[in-house]
Amino acid sequence: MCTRRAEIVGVLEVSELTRRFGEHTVFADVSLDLPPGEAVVVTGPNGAGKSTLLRCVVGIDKPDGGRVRWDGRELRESDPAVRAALAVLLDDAGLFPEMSVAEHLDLLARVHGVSDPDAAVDEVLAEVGLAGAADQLPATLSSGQRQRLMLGSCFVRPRQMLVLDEPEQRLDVPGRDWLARRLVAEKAAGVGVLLSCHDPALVEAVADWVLEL
Amino acid sequence: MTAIPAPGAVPPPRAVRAYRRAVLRGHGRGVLRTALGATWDVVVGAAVLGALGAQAGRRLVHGVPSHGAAVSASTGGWLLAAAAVALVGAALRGLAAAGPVSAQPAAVSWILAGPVDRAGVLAPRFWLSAAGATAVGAAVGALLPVPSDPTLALVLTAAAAGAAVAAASFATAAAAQQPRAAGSIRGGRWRASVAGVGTGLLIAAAAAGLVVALAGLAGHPLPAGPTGPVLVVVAVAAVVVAAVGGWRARAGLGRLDRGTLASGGALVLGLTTSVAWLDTSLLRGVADERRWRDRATVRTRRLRGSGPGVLLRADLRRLARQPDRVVGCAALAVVPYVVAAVADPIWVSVAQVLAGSLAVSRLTAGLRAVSDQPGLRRMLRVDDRSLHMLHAVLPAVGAVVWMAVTAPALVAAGDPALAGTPAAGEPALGAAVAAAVGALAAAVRAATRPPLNYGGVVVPDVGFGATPVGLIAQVLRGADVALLLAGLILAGAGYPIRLAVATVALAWSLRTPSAD
Repeated sequence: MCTRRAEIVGVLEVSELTRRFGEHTVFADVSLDLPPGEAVVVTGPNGAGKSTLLRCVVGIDKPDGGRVRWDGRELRESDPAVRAALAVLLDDAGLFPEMSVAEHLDLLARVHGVSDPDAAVDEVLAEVGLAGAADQLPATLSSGQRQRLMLGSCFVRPRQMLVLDEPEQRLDVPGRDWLARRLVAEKAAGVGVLLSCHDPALVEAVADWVLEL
Repeated sequence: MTAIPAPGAVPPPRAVRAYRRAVLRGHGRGVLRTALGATWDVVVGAAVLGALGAQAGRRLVHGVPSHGAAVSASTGGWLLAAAAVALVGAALRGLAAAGPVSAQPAAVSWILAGPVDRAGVLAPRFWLSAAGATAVGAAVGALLPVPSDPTLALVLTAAAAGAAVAAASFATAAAAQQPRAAGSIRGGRWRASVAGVGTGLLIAAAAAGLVVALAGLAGHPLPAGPTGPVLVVVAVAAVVVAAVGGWRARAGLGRLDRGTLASGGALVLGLTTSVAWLDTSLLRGVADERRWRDRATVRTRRLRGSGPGVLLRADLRRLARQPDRVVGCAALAVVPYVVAAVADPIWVSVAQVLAGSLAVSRLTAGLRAVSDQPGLRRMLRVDDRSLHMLHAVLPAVGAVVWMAVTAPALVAAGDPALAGTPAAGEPALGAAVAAAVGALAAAVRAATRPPLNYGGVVVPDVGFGATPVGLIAQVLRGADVALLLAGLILAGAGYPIRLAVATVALAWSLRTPSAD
C-alpha cells in the first residue's frame, strides 16, 4: 500500500484511488499525474496490486474510491476517444482466432486510421520479430510470440499513452533490450508510459517516476 | 495397496492401473464411483435433451394435419433415412474433433509421460469407448424408426445397422488420429478427411431431406425403398470398416503423442461439462482452439479502407474462412420444408423461428469474439455498442436471406391449409420478417451472453445439484427469445405482436450486450 504523487501536471490524473477486495485493502489513496513524454513505473512484489491498479486506471475495474481523469474528463473505458488515445496491454488481451498475426495488426492500423497501414504493419512485424510468423493463426503462437504480437498491437496504431502490465514477461533477453529502447523512444516522441514491471534494468532505463506498492 | 516394481523396471500397464485404483480408493474416490458420477451427469443432461427432442418429434409427426394430407409412409421413411445419414455425419465430425482416443490431463502428465507401455495403458479405454459408441449407435438405430410404427424385425435390423455404423465411425476416427508428421505445424490430414466426410454426409442429408420434403409437399412422394435389405447391406459394410479401422487404431495406440491425447481429453471434458450443464460454450471454445491450431496458417490478405467499416470487412473475411458455418446455416433451411411436409402448418412457423435462430447463430462468431473479450474491444477505436452493431450486420443479412429462402415453406404449408388455424390469413412476408428479427434477436442474445455466474439464489436439487437461478437464465439466454416467439405462435399471436417482441429483444441485447 502506498500513497505517492508524481507532481507533474499531465493528461492522466489519478486521484486518491482505492481498491479493496472485501476486508482486504489492495491499495489506498494512490495518486499520480502522468504528462506526455514521461514514464511512471509501478513496482512491487507479487500480489501488491500492480495489475489491479492498472486495471482501475484504464477503467476495466471499478475502484472503491478516488477517480481517474483523462484529458480533463472522467476516464470512461468504452469512450472511443479514450480507446483511440490509450494503447493498453493487460493480461486479458484478446485475439480473433481466425485472423493471422499480420491481419490483426492490419485491422488495428486501419481502424485507427493509420495513413499507410501496409508499411506500418511490415515495420512493426519486423520490429517485434514476427515477420516469419505473419501468416500464423494465434492458436499456434508461443507465449513469447503472443506477447510480441500484443506489444506490436500497441505500436502499430497512434497513441498518446501506453499502459503496459509487465510487458517484459515471456520476452527473451534481446527482446527486453528492444523493449527498453522502444519505450525510451516512445517517451521521446511524447507518449506517456505507465507500466508495471519486475525487471530492474527496464525500470532503470524507462522510469521517470517509480511508484512502489 | 498394490505394489509397483522396484526402480529400474518399467511397470506393466496392468500394475499402473491397479496402483491408480488403489490410490483413488484410499482417497475415498473409487474409479467406478467417479466414472458413474460423471456418467450420471452426462446421462441426465442427455436425457433432458433427448426427451425434449423426442417430444418435439412425436408432436410433429403425430400432429393432426389440418389440411387433411396425412404424411405418406414413404415420405416419413425417406426423411428418417436422411436423419440417419445426418446423424452419422455429425458423429463423424464429433469423433474427428474429439480424438476419439484421449486421456485426462493428469494421466497425460503423471502416467503417460513415463516409459510405461502407452498402448497397454490406453487399450482398456479404447475398447470401452468403442463399446460405448456401439451401444449408443444401437440405441439410436432402434429408436430412429419408431415414429413410423415399424415391425420388430425392422427395429432389430436398424439397431444392428446403427451399432455397426457407430463402431465403424469410431474406428475410422480413431485410426485417423495419428499424430502429425514431425516438423509440421499442421494437424492430421486424415482427421480432416474424416471430418470432411462427415460434412459431406450432412450436406447430402440436407439435400435429400429437401428433395423428399418438396416431393411430399407437391403431392408426389418418392416411392418407398427396400428398407430392410438396405440396412443389412449397410450393416455388413460397416462391420468390415469397423474391423479394419479398429485393427489399425489399436495397432497405432502406442504412437499417439501426449499432445494429441491431452487435447482430446480437454475436448471430452468440455463435452461432458457442456452436456451436464446444457451449455455448449466450453465445448465450443475447446473445439475452436483445436480447429484453428490444426489449421495453423492462413494466407494473409490485407484489408482495404480505414475506419470502423474495416471491422465489417474483417468479419466477412473471418466468416469466409469458416465455410462449414455457412453450410450449416444453409443446411438448416431444410428444416421448415421437412416440417411442412410432415406436420401441422402451424409448426412450420415454429420450426422457422427455432431453426432460424440456430442457423443465424452459426454466423455470430465475430460478435461472440468482441463480446467475450474486453481486451479485444479495448484495442479498437469504437465504443462497445457500435462494435456489437457492426458485428451484428452479417448475422442480420444471414437472417434475412435465410427467412427469404424458407418463406416458400410457409406459403406451401399455409395456402390454403392454414384455414381454421391461429395463423390463418397471415401474410407470409409479415411472418417471415417477424421470424427473421426473432432469429436475429435470439442469435445476438446468445452471442452476447456474459460469462457464466455460479453465484446467487439457488433452486432445490432436482438431479443436477443445487442450481443458481442466474445460471439457468444465462444458459437459456438466446434460446429464451426463440422459445418465447414459438410460444406466441402456438398461442395464436399475430406477426405484429411477434415482430414487436423480437424487436424489443434485439434492441435490448444490443443495448447492453455484455453487461446484463
